[in-house]
Amino acid sequence: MTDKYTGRLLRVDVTDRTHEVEEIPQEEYSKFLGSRGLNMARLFDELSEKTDPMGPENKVIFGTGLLDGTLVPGTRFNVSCKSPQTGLVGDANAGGFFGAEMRFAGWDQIVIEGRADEPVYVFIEDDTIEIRDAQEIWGRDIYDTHALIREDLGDPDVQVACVGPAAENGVRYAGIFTNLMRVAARTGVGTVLASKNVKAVAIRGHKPVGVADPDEFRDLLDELDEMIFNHPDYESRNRMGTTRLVTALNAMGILVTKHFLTGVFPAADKVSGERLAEEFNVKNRACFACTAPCSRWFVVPDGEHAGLSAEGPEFEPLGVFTARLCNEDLAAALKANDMCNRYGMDALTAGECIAMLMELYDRGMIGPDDVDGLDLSWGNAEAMLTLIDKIAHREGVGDLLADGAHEAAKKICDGAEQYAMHVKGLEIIQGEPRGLKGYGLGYCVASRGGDHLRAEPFFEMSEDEEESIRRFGTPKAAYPHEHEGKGRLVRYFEEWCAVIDSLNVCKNTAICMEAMPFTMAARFINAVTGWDLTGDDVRKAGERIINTERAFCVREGITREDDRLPDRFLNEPLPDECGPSAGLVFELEPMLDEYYEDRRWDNERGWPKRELLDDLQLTEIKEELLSKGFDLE
Amino acid sequence: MKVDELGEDSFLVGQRCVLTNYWRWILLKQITINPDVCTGCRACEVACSFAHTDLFSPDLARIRVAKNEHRGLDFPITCRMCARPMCVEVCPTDALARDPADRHIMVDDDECVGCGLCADACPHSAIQFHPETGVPLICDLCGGDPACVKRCVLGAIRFERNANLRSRKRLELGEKVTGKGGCQ
Repeated sequence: MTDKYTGRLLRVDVTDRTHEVEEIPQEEYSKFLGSRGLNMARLFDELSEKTDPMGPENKVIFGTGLLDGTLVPGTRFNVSCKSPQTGLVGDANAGGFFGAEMRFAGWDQIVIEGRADEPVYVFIEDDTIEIRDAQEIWGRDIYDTHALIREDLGDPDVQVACVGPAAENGVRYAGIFTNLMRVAARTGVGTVLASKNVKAVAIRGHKPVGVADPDEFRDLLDELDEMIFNHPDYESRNRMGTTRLVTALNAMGILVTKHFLTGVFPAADKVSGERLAEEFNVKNRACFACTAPCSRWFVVPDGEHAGLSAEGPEFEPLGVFTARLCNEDLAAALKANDMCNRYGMDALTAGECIAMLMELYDRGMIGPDDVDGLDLSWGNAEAMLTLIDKIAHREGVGDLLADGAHEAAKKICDGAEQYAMHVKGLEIIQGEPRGLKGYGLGYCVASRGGDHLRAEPFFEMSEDEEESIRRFGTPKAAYPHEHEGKGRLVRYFEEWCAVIDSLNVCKNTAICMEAMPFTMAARFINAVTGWDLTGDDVRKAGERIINTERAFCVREGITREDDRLPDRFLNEPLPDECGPSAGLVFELEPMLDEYYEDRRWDNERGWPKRELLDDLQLTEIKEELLSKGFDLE
Repeated sequence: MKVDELGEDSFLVGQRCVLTNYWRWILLKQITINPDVCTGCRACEVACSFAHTDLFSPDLARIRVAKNEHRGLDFPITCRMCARPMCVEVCPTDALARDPADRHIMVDDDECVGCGLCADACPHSAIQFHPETGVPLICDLCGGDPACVKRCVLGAIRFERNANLRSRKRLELGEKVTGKGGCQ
């Protein structure tokens, strides 16, 4: 068995157009496992509470993992920076082909620093790095940017990670897009890249990726295949991808509808994954080497948007642009998602901004005069599309919404802030926390704000009491309406997600289809590197990553006060029409107590305790926090 | 295979290329392609390189997927085992030859000078070159159990008789033209 560890970092300073290569020590790599983990360690180390997210001192870090470029299905890449949306951890990942290409180019991390004096893009082909002029490309949308860069380089196989006009215009929730529609969407990572005058990172790699033990790797792939192909969801995921959730969540009374005022959308059948599959979809598409191809190419067959064709959508944008706004027009929702993709911004946050406005309009708190004369009645698809245009160009009311729901609510009218559905400045996704308690707790404590992908505790829907007792000490953790056991559940799943994000494997297969538990992750790491990690080591690395992120947030002033959901979820029960979920509210305090205790964070402030940081070999992080006056317990 | 090694059931096509009895070949399998169901995932590429070299590398693969993301087009390309293989015909050093058993194109690394004429002659650009040695990488069917096919979950590439593909295409066309079909 040979050692196949590479561990190379490329640091590109676009201010003076220089670059340098650094080695990532194996010890650090094995502590943080790569990608998200390494990115987080670097963010904490190289940024501080004084870093202005939009200043040249912020950094955009691209990360790949040990499994990128291999036959492990659907590997991804991570982008991290300080978020202009939350001021906290900015971190998002995307599938497609950029991650694999970055690994073929031989880079584990690429750090983009500084600010160019004019628009540029960075082209990396193996060890050759070029800063190229992007003045002609600046201002062009995501689709054009891909085409123009590939044309400029004369190579259609170049992988492009780029920003669109939304990012250039300073929309705070712009993403970084690859393969046209694959997007590291959340927390405004694209906004930060654009603030550096960097339009794109284009990459081409020719180096082979080797593994230390090819035979063991083959065995592991067989095991992985078995888990995936035999999973009961396999077929429906292939047919509908995540859009299958429209029907499933609606039946449970927890499909976010009318801006969280209810959990049932009467027109769900018109906008469901089933209808999409039946009438719109042409074929499946997939990320790199994926054996569970959940993405779909669709064509709108008729109507106003006839001929619109693209890949997707995922459940989140589909749900946001339909049920959340009471829009029954499926084609219009696809158009909305397509516009967000072309302008290059996070569809989820854009959707929440529009939904918030519609609720304020419905309540009479704002009128047509406040929103450029638009009729913002629930379900007005035309107004939805107009608002997306306005946000991307920061025109009229779009200028307010471009800062996110949380910021817009402060300015649009008195009393609007309680209607901004966000955690720590990041808008909440399309899952109802009152009926999915574990997910809700996940939003509360996630280092990047109101998002499910830091925890993805799907187990709470399993009804597997035996396993629930074994893992979380109570049968209740296996039921979505129960709050007991959810602290331990969320801790477990956060650590699992941290590991999977650091290996850049897809959560659909690795976590939701339970294909890659900690021990399996360890065996994959060992097969690639020749190391000797155990499942426990890997889980501990996950815990280390979560605590590094928490320390980053603590340094920014985050305490228990911030780990909460908007009042609506705590005080307003889900209405009667929500069937099995009617009457539920979110029990924040007991869940937080349980979570902090299991995490070994102090109950009052939610800070990691000293002994925990020592235990996780995060002594430098402990010293940094102590030196900044945080009297950790 | 040289001309003087021709068997009784073989004949010449063009100047130099040897085609053994085509009737027998109909029974042989090849890699067939259906781009309509290809997801564009490129697992076939790395499955190929991993099977041949224990490395993951599209540059070392004998199958590649052409993609046009703007149109949602995914098109796997590998050796189609032409009846009259132009790659063999143009090779100036006789480095390429056809395997009479399964009819894949064999490359003699010692004879090959890496001139690239074979790739230029290939009518569907199925040949790329080994990044270190410069010799052409051409599908060898993995000895009868192609790794790429095993990794293709939706059956966009298959290992089958060409005649099977033709039969399916005929049926698909018939169904498309007549609607549901049947005696109504």
